Amino acid sequence: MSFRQPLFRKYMLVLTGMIAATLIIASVVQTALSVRAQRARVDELLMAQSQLAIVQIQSFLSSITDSMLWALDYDQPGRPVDLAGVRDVIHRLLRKVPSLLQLRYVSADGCVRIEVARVSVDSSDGCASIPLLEHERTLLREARNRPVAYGRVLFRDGSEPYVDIAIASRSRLGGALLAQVDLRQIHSTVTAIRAGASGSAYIVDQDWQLIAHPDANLVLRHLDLRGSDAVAAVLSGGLATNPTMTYDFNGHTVLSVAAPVRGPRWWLFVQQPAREAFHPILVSLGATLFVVLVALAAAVAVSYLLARRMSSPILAVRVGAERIGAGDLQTRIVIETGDEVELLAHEFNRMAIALGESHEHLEAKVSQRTAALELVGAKVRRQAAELAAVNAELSSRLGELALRKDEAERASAAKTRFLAAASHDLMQPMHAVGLLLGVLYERLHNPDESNLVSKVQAAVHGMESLFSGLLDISKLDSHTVTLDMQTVQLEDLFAFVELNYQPLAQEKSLRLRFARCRYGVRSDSALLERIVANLVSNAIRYTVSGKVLIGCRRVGNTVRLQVHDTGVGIPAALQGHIFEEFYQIDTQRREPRQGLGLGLSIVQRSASLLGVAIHLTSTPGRGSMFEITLPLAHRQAAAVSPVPGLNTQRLRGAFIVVVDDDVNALYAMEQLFGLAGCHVIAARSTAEIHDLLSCHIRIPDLIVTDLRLGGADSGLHAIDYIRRDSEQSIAAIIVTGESNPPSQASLPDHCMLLRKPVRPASLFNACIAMLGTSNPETPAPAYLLQ
Amino acid sequence: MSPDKMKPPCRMRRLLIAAAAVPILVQGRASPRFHIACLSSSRQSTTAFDAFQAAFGAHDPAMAVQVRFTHAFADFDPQRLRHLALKLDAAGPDLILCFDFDAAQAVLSARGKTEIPVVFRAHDDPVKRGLVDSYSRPGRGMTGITTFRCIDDKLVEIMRDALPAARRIGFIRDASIPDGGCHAKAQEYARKRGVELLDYSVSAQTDLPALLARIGYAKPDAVIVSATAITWNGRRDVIAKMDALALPALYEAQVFVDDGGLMYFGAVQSDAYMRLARAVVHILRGGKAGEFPVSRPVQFELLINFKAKHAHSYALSAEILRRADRILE
Repeated sequence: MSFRQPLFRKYMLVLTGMIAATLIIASVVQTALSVRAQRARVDELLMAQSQLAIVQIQSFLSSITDSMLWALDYDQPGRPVDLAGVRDVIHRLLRKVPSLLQLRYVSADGCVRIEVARVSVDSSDGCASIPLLEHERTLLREARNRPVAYGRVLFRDGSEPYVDIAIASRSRLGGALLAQVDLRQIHSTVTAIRAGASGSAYIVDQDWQLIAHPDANLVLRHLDLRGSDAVAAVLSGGLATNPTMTYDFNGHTVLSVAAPVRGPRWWLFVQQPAREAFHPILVSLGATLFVVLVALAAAVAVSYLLARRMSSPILAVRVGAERIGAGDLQTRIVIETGDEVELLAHEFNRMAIALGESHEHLEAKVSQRTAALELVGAKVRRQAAELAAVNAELSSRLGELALRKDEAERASAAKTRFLAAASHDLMQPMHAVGLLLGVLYERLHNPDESNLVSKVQAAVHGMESLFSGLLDISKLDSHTVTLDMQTVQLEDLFAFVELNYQPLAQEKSLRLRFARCRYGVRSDSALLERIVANLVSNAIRYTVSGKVLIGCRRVGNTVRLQVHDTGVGIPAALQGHIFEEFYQIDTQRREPRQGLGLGLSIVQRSASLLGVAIHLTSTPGRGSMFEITLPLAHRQAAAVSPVPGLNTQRLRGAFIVVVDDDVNALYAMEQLFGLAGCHVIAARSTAEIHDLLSCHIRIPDLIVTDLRLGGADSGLHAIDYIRRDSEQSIAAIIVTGESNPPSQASLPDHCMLLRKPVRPASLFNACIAMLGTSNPETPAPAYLLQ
Repeated sequence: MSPDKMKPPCRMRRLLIAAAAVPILVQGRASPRFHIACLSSSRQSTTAFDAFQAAFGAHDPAMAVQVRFTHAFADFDPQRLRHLALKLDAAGPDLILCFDFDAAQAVLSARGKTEIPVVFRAHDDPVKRGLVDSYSRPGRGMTGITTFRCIDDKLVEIMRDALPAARRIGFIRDASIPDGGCHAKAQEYARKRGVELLDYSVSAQTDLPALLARIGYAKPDAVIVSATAITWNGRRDVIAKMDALALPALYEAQVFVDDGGLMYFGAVQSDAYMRLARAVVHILRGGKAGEFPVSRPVQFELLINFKAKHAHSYALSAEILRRADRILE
């Protein structure tokens, strides 16, 4: 089992977090205090440097003023002013103080007694020759009230700064010296001022003019510093400020402080690059960060050790518990911490001992049970061996049964093949005999002879029924019948069946009635017709008097087709046997021509093939009712039903081509159609048709042909030839005795398939029906006539 | 125009600067980044160039090794000077360094569409002569230094104080240079002091020998020699003539005293080249020449050379000896 937060990690995180938080908080507080203190020291240092710079500037000015005071020593009471001496002193003063450009001695009455210049010529021509400007007079008046009077800084030619300094003598004569000082000379003094390694200083006067700077060119450009924030903060406030962060003339961040220069009302600005000024603070921060990181690393290490020490006993208990849980009951947890964890381990050990004892007891019981089970198992194994022997014997017998089943199936198939072949071979002569008897009957006029032919016809009809039933049974058993599912109109089907069985019913004075039924069902038309025909035939056969009623009823999506009769009825005990082959109910009132007992067998096999159930309801002496349930078909174009009624008059004048390779059958059909008034061409092959039709201009109305014409020739070839020759889709009837005839779908259009043997009436009805379909587009009827 | 002569201490400093620059050269900075074209009216300006180069190396050694110099001399031929100025303007150097006023004016006249920065050194008033707009903001892509101050009257005063008995003082000057009335002021002052100021004017270098040949005819008590190109070029002849005639002379530039002259009063030249070097470095670092102020001399000095011939026989006054800033003995 894995934990999302193992105990060791929890201890580790908690301990590390606590120690780290403590360290970080302490470091932050200490660093903040340290930074504050160091910032204060930086400020103090910069202010001290500014004061030192002030001293240097004052020293520069003092060297000038002191020299001027020394020169004024000549202005002593009781001594006349010796202008030559004054001039000599002033020249010495100029040599001593290079920054002095010019000196004038002004007497107490305001006259300039002498003017000595460094570059200009000296003058001592009298009071009027050297006029004083107004600001110079003002300055001299100020000099009377203070030790030294400083004028405003002026720029000669807008480039060279200078200042007037006036010092008045305190003697009785009251003379004064007015000096013009070249401030370019202060450059070396300002350049010598240092603030840290790369700091500098500059001087701004009360008129915001830069008058001294290490870069002398800035001064010569006569800069006005009203746009400088640092200068504005000082000159607008008028007070010295603490160091502040600002920008120098090059846009670099500097720590700047201003200090006033006493006397001339100048401001000395001392600035130091911020990076340099705060370098100790950055170093301190770096050192603190390093110490914190080292301490954090140590904290992690200590946390690791503590967490390990705290979690290892618990982990030992956990491992021991896991081993005990896994079945290792000999495990003992050894912990000597002297606390609750050790007590917990002790309890685990006791539990392991108890579990071990219980385990041993259980094992003994399990051994006993295992021995008993082994005995039972041996017995079961013996029985299993016996069963295996029985199974082997059964398998052997099943194999024999399978062999016998295969032999039976092969025998059944051989029988089916035999019956199919025999039926076909028998049906062909039966077909010819039937037709010939029809011809003979028409030609005989003697009643006795006709009666005799009728009996022969009845015997032949019985043989045909027998062969037909056997053929159907063989086909159904051979599983060779292919379903041709289509929509079957029950009304048409009923009409066709009525056409075939009404004569039989009339012969027995029975009422054969078909109810009106307009439904269409989805089924194979041939099989359904066979079922209905057999049921109707069966009902007529076993009904002596009364009626046979055929009807249908729609129930949901199905149609129930029922055949009622008032016949002998079927006892309940026999109802299970009536569908067996050749089974006939033994009854006194049975019809003398009661058939062979194959009809219901064919019905059952056909219904089974269609997948429909047959329901029988019968009461002995009152009659029976057979019912089959068929799926309702969607409405479609109604199939063309054959035209009911036997009337050879409708065939009169028709041009019929008859084709059959059997000479007898060909002769019989030629004679039959000839008696019906038809114009007949009889041919045995497709080649003969060619010869015979070449003599006729008229196009045939109908083709009646056998399916097999011998060799490669067939009825389909004959139909195709005549249609191509006439370029019309002439109606055709194909007669066949095949046990597996072609499906309706595989036949050409306007073709009807008849099964041999075909009775003359059926043949005439089919011909009349086909001649009625003059419209080529009308689908051909798809009924298999018997 | 005031030519200079390189002093021994400056040469020593240049050697030291060159030695300091060796590691920089080894580091692969030998290929010069900048081209400075030097233009001068006289070939003797090589001395001034040496002084400038020493100051340049002292002011910014790293920059000094990145500069390549080319030189052009007009030999006092105005046509050649103009031709050289046009040639330099077409060559397109990073900076044109002119060692006299005429050279700077020629470059200004020859300047095409491209404004190549110019740094000049002159002994004239560049504002009054129209070379620049003002001292604080010269404009026109030019800056420089000037050693000019109108001190003609001051020279008369000093000579009068040095030789109180002198009544006839000759004044050798270049009359072809407009001085803005400076010499007229000296004449006026001399008249007030009772001194006859003899006008020894020349207009060309060729005039100087004739002047020197007849300088004694007017029997001057002393001679003042202004610093012009003509006197600078013929200074040794002038000094020799003064010595030959035993005439005390006051010169306007130190170079005359260095060559044996008696006295000089004028601007101290030692910081002039340093200011010139500052201007050049400022421009090479991207500064605009027109915004760099034209600086004027800061210090003046009076130097008396008792090593000069007949110096002790001239009986210089005690007053002038007290006023002298330096006395060479």
